[in-house]
Amino acid sequence: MTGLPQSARNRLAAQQQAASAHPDADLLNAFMEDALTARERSSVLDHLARCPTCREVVAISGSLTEKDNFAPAPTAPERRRLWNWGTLRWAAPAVAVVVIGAAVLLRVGTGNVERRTTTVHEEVKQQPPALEESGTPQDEPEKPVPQSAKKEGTLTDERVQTKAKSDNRDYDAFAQPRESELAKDPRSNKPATDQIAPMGGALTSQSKVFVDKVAPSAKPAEARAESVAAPPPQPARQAQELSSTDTIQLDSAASPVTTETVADSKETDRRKSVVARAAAPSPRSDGTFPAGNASNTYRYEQSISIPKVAVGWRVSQGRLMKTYDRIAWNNVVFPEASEITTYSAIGPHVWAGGKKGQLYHSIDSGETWSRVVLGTPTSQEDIRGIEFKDINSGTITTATGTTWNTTDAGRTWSRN
Amino acid sequence: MRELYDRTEGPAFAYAFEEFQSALLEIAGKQRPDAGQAELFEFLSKLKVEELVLARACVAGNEKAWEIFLTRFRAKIYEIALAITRNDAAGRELADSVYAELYGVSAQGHERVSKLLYYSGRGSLEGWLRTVLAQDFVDNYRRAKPNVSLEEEQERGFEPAALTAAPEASPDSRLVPAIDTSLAQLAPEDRFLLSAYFLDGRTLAEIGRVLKVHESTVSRKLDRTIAQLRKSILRALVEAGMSKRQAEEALEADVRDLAVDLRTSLQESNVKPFLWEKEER
Repeated sequence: MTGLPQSARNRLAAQQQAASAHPDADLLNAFMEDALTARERSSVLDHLARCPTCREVVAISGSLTEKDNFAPAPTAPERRRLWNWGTLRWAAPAVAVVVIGAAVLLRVGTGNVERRTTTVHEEVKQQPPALEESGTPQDEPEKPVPQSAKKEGTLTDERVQTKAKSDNRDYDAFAQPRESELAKDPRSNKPATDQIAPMGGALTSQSKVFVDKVAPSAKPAEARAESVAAPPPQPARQAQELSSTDTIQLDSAASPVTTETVADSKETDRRKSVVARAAAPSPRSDGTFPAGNASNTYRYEQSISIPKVAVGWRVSQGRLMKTYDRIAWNNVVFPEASEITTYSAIGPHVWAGGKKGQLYHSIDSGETWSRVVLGTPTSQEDIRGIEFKDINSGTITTATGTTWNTTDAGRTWSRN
Repeated sequence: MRELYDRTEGPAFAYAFEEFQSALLEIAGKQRPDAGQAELFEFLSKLKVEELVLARACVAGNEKAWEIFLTRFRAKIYEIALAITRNDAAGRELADSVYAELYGVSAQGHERVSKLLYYSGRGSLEGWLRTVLAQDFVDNYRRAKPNVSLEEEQERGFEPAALTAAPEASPDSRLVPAIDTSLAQLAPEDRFLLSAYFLDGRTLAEIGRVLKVHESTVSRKLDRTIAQLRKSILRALVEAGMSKRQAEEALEADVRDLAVDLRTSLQESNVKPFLWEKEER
């Protein structure tokens, strides 16, 4: 490439100016998406030629668009005949191999599922009634279990663990609607085999979800052995308590789920997140957030995975600060200008209070905040203390000594 | 307009046809004030009315609209902010500040205005959000820059080349007007090419992404533009009374330019493109 004469380059630089008026995001975006008329495009380019700031903006924006969004290289494509003998000579055996392979796989897969379904079904019949009614796995004495059942349980868990580790997103995205279906579908009370049977040969996490959900009634001994070693099922109970107070019934399957396999604990964590998020209020037209229920918000929250990071909090000079590494502290930005004086954090549930009754609640470690109004908007007192025993029960103390209590994660408050 | 409205989720968001009509007329009035009936119709039909209605319903505070907006764009906003800043904490901060603007933050008790009100539907809503994030990032950077001490600035060694006013130097008083005239005669796109490539240090691929052409096309255009500019300057110098040889010498072998070269290259030895500077932090 030939160079630009230095004199011309100097003049070009001299013509750069810090423009006072810039095209707005709407116009720049329309420029980036080729939605401008030729005259408008020319005008934007004229500005860009002189404005380094806007060139930065379009360069950043352009770098984030699809990489293959530009026109293909104008090289003459090589013309090849698709159906020449050279292609067909290799295509025919390849197609034959694929067809035979698929047929073999389908046959093997179907056979496996049939055998597996039969095994679990038989095991359901063999389980004594006392086992179905027993509470926690720790209470149960170890009983001999058929080898086939043990093998089956192990296999299933391995499949799910592998699947859950390799593809969390798929697992979560899949599992949630299935849970909802279970919650709404009275058929979910049926034994495991009734639900497994129609699922065909697909040995995916879908199979595991059902096995886990009905595990207590048809739980293989291997799974029970794992559950003894697993941490106590406190999170699962919390989630159940939450769901009982909410409109969303995630665990309406009749069996008391106590299995704590790896997949189950993931499931429980996510369930907690979903149930807790169901209480998140949505903004009003004026931007404030009601303290009331907004149960329909749970749908979009399901698809969002919140990273499990240890988050630290502190209040400094009227600002709430947050850290992920105890080294770098960042100011938390609230929907409104606020002077924060106190906070309380239990896991991802964070409450922050400040002057003039400013009270904010986050259920995702401060990623998003909702404004909560105690009493009437005109009678707002400075908040001096926030104390939550758990995510549901907490007390807020104002400057005049008034206390507000909640037992439902802040959806309703009573004044003392 | 009714046909356009029927394509949207307006009724589901409690966004009435009258509001929709008034929004379209407002946008058309701003962007096509002198358009005739046919041009106006074409303009309106190209608007992304579905996303426009979603944005306007969010501005009006409709819960369902916010739900859909968050479902579609919440994760994306954080992803984009992270990609821009290349730093988790800074990315979250940037995304949070844009969220606040989207919700509509008022300073000192003024009326709340959501930034979504400024989306006109000419491009995609996602692209608009991307541009808003990029603008906020650049604005914040520029705003924070005066707070950086001179020593720090020198240590960091970052100064966008475009902002560095190059000293004017010319052995002949006829050279500057000739260059200015020739630059002014170039098409805006060609001037943008020269600025982005020679002043900002952008790569051909980066410029190609902005102009939606392949980098080889950018390379060819750049070559052609430089040749055209050179020819134009020489012609202007000859018209101003120089011989062809004198003009070539004035353009190529400027003694004072050599000094400028040295100074500029010293200044630019530390210059890095904007994005990469963030990466190295």
